[in-house]
Amino acid sequence: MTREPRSPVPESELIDRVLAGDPAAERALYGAHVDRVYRLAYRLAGDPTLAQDFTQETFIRAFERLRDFRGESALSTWLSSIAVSVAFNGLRKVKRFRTREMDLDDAKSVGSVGRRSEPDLKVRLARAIDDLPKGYRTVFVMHDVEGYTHEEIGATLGVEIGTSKAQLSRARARLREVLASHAGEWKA
Amino acid sequence: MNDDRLDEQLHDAAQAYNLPPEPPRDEMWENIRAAREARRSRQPGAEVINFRRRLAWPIGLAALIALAFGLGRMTGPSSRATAPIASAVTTPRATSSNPAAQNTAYTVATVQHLARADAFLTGFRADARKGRHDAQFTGAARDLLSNTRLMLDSPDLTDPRLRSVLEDLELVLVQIAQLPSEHGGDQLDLITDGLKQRGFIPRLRSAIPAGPASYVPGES
Repeated sequence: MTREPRSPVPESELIDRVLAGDPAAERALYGAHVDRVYRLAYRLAGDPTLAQDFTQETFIRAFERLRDFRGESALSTWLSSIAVSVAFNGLRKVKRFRTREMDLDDAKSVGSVGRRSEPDLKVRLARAIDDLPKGYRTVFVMHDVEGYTHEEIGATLGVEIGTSKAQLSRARARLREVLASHAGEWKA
Repeated sequence: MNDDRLDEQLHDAAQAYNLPPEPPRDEMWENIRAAREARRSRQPGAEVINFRRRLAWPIGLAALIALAFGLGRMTGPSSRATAPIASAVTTPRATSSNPAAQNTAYTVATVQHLARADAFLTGFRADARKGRHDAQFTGAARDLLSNTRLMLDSPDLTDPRLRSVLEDLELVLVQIAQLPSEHGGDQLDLITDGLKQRGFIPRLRSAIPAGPASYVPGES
């Protein structure tokens, strides 16, 4: 399947048709939003299997709860909030399971790919993003990586816009330090 | 280097962070459809409510079992994380003569077991994909396997769909438990491909009702 164009049907009509049990409308709604949900899930999980699981679970929950969607935010924002919640829970579950059952030394590697040794700037930055506190990391990924606005982030995470801005600013400050030290090493 | 230049570099470098590949849209859609279909056929609306209502008081019983079991873990010699499940399956039979309570305790224990199996298989698949195979996975698979077999052997197992999920789970766990500690790459691929093709994890999840019944001791 190639990337699907946005459905020409207005979203509210599409939602009504999904609620009425129209399978074609379900597919159209999925097609319109799956890329954005998958991208966010992948950026947070850093793993194709987990991203796929989280995306599937997001849509399963969304279809189950669509009747509760009041239209107070955009459907895409509502879906993002489900995706973030699913991803947080999923990552926590996997991390706890590994820590408890496997006693792995590096439980933090959930949500990151093996990148502990290379000196490359992108690798170092990725490590630094992985190590950010969860709130900072989420806001940074959503805003600076995926291009969400602070309004969307606030609605998705259920936080004030000011909180989103503050967390982004702190995240950037920490990452700038990493960049600056990297630049310093290069000069040296 | 000034802040603007750093921000520009930061922005550029951040685009490569966990860069997503092309989404497997069709595969995900098929899994979503299958999972929703399974949930629909398993839980007609009214029954879900009744099921949860029926579960309300037995959850207390299950919590007591979990607590007793937690105390046992703290004082006993074994600390295996999956042991509570076996206790939850066997304890009601020994202590309760009420068949409804037995059956509900069985259901609660099964839900906990499936939630644990879900977390295990999700972690296993993610690691397998990165080519990582830890010998401790096989140990955890063996623990889950023995609980799965206990559940399959229980006379309280009357739901054919649940039986089918548990039987499939048993097969998967047997495969993982028998993985060689080295050179298991091909078998690892076979297991993960099999999980994917059969859409087993969505089916497993569809057997776990949402809500308080999916509480797993030690997880929130």
